[in-house]
Amino acid sequence: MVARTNTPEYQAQVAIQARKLKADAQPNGLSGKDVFKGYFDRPESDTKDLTRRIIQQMGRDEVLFGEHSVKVGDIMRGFREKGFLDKDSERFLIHRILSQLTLGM
Amino acid sequence: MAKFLNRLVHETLVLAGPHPIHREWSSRYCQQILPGSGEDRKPDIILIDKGACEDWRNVITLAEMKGNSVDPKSPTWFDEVARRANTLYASQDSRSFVITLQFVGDRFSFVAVDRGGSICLDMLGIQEDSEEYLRLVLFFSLADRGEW
Repeated sequence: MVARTNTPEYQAQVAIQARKLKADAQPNGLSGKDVFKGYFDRPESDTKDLTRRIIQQMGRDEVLFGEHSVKVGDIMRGFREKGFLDKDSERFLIHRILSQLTLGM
Repeated sequence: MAKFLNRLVHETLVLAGPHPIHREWSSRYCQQILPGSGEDRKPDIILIDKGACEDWRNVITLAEMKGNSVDPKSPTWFDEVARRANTLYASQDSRSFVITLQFVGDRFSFVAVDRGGSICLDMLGIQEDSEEYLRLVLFFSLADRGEW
């Protein structure tokens, strides 16, 4: 099955979604035609913050772990205790990534 | 990198306990053509359900890796990412959108592509934004497909 995208109903839904995204992406304090500059004209710090917020929404604790009461904050704390986030530790996870990026996959 | 992603999920589940979803990152086809598509593509890393045949028809998502010299805002890079998403569309009839992961040096991001267009997010640092990195990897690895 292939979604039919040329129907008025589909296009109307796309327009609604786009308006929602634009509302979130628009910088504060602008008016008139400036507000239509949109996402890519935002300062870099704002787009990074937007990316962080989207990831936090996508990867919410309940999405990742369902009804269990596990939280990513607890996992991060556990990683810290194991030394995975300690830059001086041999077990530092980020160090491992960077080593592997250098060595290939 | 695929080993690292699997390790990250494994270590999470050591702390969190058993999880009903079992997926695996694989880089086995980074140097050879992944079967299941008319296009000859070698994806850097793929995510599939554990035990599933490694084939374009079973790919849940892709991760692309590049060195620091790549400009993630360049049309060339976007074109490459979009081509991979297109290959997924071509091999999975029921697919209505694709979200893929990108690594550029020690930075990461993701792109969401559907048949109407795409949304490209900014790059974050694996070290500076380690919580977001973990959430994103766990989202791909553990989230029910209904949440995508």
